[in-house]
Amino acid sequence: MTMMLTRRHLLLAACAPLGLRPAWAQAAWAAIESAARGQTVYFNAWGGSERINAYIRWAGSELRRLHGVALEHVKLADTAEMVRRVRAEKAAGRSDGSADLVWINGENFLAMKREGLLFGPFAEALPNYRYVDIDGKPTTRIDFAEPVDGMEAAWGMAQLTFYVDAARAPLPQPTGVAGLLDWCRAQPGRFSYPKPPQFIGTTFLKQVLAELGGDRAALARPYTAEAFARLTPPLWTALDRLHPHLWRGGLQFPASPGALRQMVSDGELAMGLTFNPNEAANEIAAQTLPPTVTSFQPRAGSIGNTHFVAIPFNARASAGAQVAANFLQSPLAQARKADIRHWGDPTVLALDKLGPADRALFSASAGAPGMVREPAPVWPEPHGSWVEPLEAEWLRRYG
Amino acid sequence: MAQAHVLSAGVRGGQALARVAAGLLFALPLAAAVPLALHEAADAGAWRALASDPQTLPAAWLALSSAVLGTAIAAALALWLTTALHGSPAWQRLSAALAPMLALPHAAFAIGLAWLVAPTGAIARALAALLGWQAPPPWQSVNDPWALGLTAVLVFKELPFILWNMAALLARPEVAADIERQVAVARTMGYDRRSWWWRVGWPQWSPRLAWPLLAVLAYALTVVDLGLIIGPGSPPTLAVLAYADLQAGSPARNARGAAATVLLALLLACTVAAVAVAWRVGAAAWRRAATRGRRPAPARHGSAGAGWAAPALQVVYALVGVTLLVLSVAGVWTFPAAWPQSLTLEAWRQVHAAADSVGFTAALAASASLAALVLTVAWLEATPPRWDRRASVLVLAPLVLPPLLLMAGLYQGALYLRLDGSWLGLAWVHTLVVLPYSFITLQPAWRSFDPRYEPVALALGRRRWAFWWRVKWPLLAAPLAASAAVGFAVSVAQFLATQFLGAGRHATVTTEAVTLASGGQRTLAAAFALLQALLPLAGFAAAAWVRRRTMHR
Amino acid sequence: MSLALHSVTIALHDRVLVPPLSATVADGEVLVVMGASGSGKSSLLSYLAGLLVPPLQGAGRVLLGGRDITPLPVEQRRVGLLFQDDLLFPHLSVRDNLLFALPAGRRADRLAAAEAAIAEAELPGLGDRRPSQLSGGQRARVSLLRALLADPQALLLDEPFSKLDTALRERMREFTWRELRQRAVPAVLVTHDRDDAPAGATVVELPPHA
Repeated sequence: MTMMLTRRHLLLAACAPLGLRPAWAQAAWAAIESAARGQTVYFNAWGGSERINAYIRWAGSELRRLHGVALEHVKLADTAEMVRRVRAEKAAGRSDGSADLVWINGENFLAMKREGLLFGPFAEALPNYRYVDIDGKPTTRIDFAEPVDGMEAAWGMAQLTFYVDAARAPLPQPTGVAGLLDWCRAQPGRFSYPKPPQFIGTTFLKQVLAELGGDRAALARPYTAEAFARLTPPLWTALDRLHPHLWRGGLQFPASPGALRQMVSDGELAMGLTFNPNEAANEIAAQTLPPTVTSFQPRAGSIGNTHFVAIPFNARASAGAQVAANFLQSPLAQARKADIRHWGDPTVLALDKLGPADRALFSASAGAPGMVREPAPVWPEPHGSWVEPLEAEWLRRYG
Repeated sequence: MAQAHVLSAGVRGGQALARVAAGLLFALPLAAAVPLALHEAADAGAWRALASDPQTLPAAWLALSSAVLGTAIAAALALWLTTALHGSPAWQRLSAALAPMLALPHAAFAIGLAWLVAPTGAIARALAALLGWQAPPPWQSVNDPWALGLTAVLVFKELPFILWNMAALLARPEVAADIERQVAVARTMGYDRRSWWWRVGWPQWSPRLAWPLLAVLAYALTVVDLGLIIGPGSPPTLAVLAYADLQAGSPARNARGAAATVLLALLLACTVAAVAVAWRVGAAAWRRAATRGRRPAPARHGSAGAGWAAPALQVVYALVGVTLLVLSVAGVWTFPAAWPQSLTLEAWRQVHAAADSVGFTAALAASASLAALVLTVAWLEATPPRWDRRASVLVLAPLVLPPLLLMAGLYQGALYLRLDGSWLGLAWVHTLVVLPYSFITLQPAWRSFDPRYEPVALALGRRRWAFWWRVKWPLLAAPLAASAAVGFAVSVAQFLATQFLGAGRHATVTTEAVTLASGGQRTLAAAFALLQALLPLAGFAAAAWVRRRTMHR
Repeated sequence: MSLALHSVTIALHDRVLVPPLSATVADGEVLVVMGASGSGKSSLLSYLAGLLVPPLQGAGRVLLGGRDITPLPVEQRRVGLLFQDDLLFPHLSVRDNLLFALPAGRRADRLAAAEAAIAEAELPGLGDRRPSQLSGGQRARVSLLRALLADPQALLLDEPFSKLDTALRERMREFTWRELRQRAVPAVLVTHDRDDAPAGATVVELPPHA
């Protein structure tokens, strides 16, 4: 059920930066809250990390306590499963769907928005939207160069980050792609990246392309064959030079970032990739990475984005889902999420928009072992339509 | 010998009802699933995409080679072991050792074995201690591009299954007696036991292995979770490729995945046809060689190492079990340390927190195996033995249809019937999958039940229902319990069925394990793998207890 | 090649089933051992063939053509065995069953020998049939000839006629004694039917158990 942008939404959007909420908006929200009480929300989210699963369990207990909403975590191995399921339900004419809230971003969001598989717009009507850092973090409103239009609510930040086991690789950290090539030459077989179309592997490709291709603005525009042919040759040349020095000579690639991390932990690899800048710190605290691991980002900048939660068009508990989305954006939930003792996922909120009590919740996990010492600028993602051609070409060359 | 007594109208009606029920609940969904799945693959663009994908051909080759090689090696080993050990006490020991091996799920075994042979695994660390390595060796033992790791796991897991089928067949009293006398006759003619097997025994009995071997081949060709854990990565096997496509977000890729599953079915059909032709051609030549009359040299005695087979298999399985246990509590364990740098109970705490899914898995498996048992008994009671051959084809169909094809089709059907994500739909599909195993396990015992008991009981004035309840089924308690245990194990190990039909609403221990493995959480994956193994083991232990209780007569 | 038994006795645990038996069987002659069911007569044959397994125990020497075969394994004794059931291999044709038994040699010679045996069994043209396609009497004749084609130096028969109809039995007995005389093979026959014994054969009665 897609709704057109109404004047109400425009008014809300105008009020949001001022931290104001009109009275009618508050009344509408109260109605949603009372409708949500007693509902069960099926939250379809990736379940491959027990830390994240534990956080979601905590969120569920808080939601039950505060709003009487039951949150069921449906663990997915891949978000695309859910997309496929919602699409199949729409094709079968089902208005009662199996998912109420989904964890999503990027090309999956693009597909769902285009095919009318999403409920909304709802995100800008959430009470906690006024705290979201839409100025400092533009990716909260543009997802893979596609306007969000309130169809998904920002949840956390991600940025491509490398982590290296200093005990096994006593070399200076590479500062960019060129440095990476030198590092791999000096330490053959000790680095690899997940095989595309796994999205972190694809992000690595995008990172190299952004660094070498030179024209990041062109990447923000939709894909054209001409632009592809013009911009990507440096990427393939760099990979051709890099692959022989990778793990297994670049003929095989780990299937997932989790497998990659396991290999760094075991000592088979010395360097890995992740999308969560705090993941290494997180894993060290959880005793799944050795304490000698440090994180770093390419100095000029690395690709980053926001990840969101969205509501499928046929959600049975859309009110409950909105309440859940709102809670996930609340300072309480965001602070716990950012704490590396629990998850370490950076917040989407602007700390200066919060009151002093809320701001204090975000106290330090800074300086923990494994955290990034010198954060680099965030580069926006290329347009979502570049993903498939990049993956297809990579598979053609190296798959 | 046909049943000569007249059946009352009531019984005939009941039998007809049972047949209709079996047909509706079983045959109809199967028959509907295949066209639904094929419909998705009927897109020409999907086939073009499949043909133009450079991964398709190598992936198909890897799937075929690992499946055929794995099945062939397992079958050859099974034949060799039976030839060498049958008739001696070692055979009893081997047969007894098989049940726990069958109970360990394939995925769990793969996780353990993968760690044993990995470049940072147990064997590598042992060698590092001996040879002073500091860095892991550049082995390609796990996820190797030739699918050898996958083949090895298949051999280790399918060998007990084939042997178990063999043991069940050879243990039947009429078969066992017949074999012993044939062996006696052959020995008096100057042939030894082993010669008898190759010249007379196998040509006679190996056609009985056709269905189990077909099931093994079909499984090996279409297995997904094994391919994910230990199979090649670039390119993966065709089944893994198809699964990735079917789970992807874009409809074009879904269609390509559907086309790939149809391709898998075609590959299976072609392989079976090739084997059938080779069998025909080879059988005649084999017969000529077998009747050439050359007696074996007298000094060829001793089992040539086969006596070590049972202990060796048990050692491997025990090692895998211990590995899983250690992995489930290991924190950071960098090469070349012989013991983990840190131990953690986190994984088991999570398992404890996931107790709901354990209960759910057990309840689902119990219902599915019970329902399958009831259906199987109803079918066996209701149909005359001459229907069995036709029934076998139908009942065994789910074993040989690629599960991806079947599940995709059943999911489409469930969507229209609004059964997706419901407990009923899930239980129903699990029952469907369990039914062939239930039938295979129960049918031999049922058909070899002495048919004379029944007329005697009826002549004594008992009604047929009382006869079943008080005479027949208690006598068959051990096979019934074994069938239930097998069904229970099969249901617990189901991944695709729960994945598709549960629509994400329901999680079992197996889906949790595979999802966690997808995140690379080896500690958790090991803990869940152990959990995955414990449930069927409990089932088999219960069945063994029933068998011991009913043996003392 | 005569068959000689020296004090052959069979015991089960502490009970003696067959008291020490000594006898000599000349070529073409038959020793008939009689007794009630379970009296141990089949066990006696097993001992002679070398197939006796615990808990049964046997003692005594067995000589075949002067050669002591007691310590030899079954495969080397050259003693044939015939059961009540014909035990023809069901997946092989009649000819293939016979070829199985024949010693190795030139293919043409073996085929000729098999054809001769088929003719002797009065089954012309049925060489390609499977055992299941033959009648009981036909199967019994093929079974006997198969045992004899293996060129044994002695033949043991365990109630071979009991599964045949009365009408066939006489015919089969005549056929059997004729073949044995023709090939000069000593035989031991175990039965519970007195009519099975050929004329002039030595008959040993096993005592019933206490």
